[in-house]
Amino acid sequence: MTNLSNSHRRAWEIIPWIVNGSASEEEIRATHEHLRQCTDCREAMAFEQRLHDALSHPQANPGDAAQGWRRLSARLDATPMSGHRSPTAITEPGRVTASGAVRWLAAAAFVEALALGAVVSSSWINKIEREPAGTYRTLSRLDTAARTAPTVRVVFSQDMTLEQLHVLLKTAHLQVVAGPSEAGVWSLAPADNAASMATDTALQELRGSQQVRFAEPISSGAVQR
Amino acid sequence: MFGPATAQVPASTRDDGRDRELLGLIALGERRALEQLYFNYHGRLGQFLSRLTGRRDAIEEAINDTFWIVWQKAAQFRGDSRASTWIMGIAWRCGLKALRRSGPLPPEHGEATIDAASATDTTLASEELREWLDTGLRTLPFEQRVTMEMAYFLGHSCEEIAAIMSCPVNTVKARMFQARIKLRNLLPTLGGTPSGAAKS
Repeated sequence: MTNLSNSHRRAWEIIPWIVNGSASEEEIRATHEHLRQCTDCREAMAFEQRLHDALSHPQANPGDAAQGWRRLSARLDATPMSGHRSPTAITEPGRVTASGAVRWLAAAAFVEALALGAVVSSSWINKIEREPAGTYRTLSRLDTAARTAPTVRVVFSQDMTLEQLHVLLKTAHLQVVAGPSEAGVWSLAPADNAASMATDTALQELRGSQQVRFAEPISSGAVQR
Repeated sequence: MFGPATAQVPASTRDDGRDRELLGLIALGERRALEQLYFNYHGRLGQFLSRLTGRRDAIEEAINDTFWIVWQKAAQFRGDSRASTWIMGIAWRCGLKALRRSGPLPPEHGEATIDAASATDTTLASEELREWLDTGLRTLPFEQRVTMEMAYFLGHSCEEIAAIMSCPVNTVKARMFQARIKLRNLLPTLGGTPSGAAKS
């Protein structure tokens, strides 16, 4: 009787998680075993299933996503960025990517392809001012722009891995500040603590990499997208 | 690819992989990745936040606040949960703020009474059923209602809901338990059982 009572209580608790698909195999097996001998729990399962089916349909009017995005985009345009890290940090253990095999450039190309079909605003092509990762600070816009002005344009090979990118940018003391363009061009700038490093030296590092197909300096004052 | 998304299925493993990649790009400042994520989540966030407040402007504000934080904090996503859990946790907190700003509950909120006559109509259209259910859900305490929505609309596990709502797993279980008891007593025909059949 106690066993039946325990299994009844356990089944009652697990039913919603079976219905929404998040219960473990063992939980499912044990519950179904109990259901064979418990009318109450079979009814409970049927009820929860109908409840789930009814609730899993979205409301007819979820709101205007395109309009919402335009508002958010305008907000982003109007506010200096903070909190973003340079690509030199993207391969820290346990961070962001599901596995080391995830390729940043492939993902970027994926997003680029999706964007081609976009019918929403073209605000994404606006220049984005970037700040290195860190805490919030008060910076003038002029200072921010100067610190992130791109000095090099580069095209990476398609088979470049995240780790290789990490090593290369670290070696060349560079950070990504924009890109890729439709032609796959990325804009790089000196890393936060390497502003004094000569562009020529950074270019040598880039051109020495087998994963770099193209690397050229950007003349000062050039407009960068 | 873009357009109003009415996401209605729980995030699958495949979706999680996609979301993680997008978060990785957002952490680097890639605006288009944020845009893609925004459209992927707008429908389900709108649905979820509608459980917190009935004001459309507050919902939109909470959605945009959520993605504002995602934009700022993507680099802090450590990958130890599904991306959707991380995003919904932010949405939950933004929703609470919106709730505080916009006032308590939906304009139509109040002591709901279930129409027994309509409840016994076996030909209820799904839309009517949903409205009926909404009325039932509004009778639940706030946390129970949101827990139910997270489990049945968003498809989150018990542990994920605990993470999103920053509470113990046992609290989620208790909220779900109480919500189910109340709904079974309020909506008996949904289970094909007479009123009062639910056991506590």
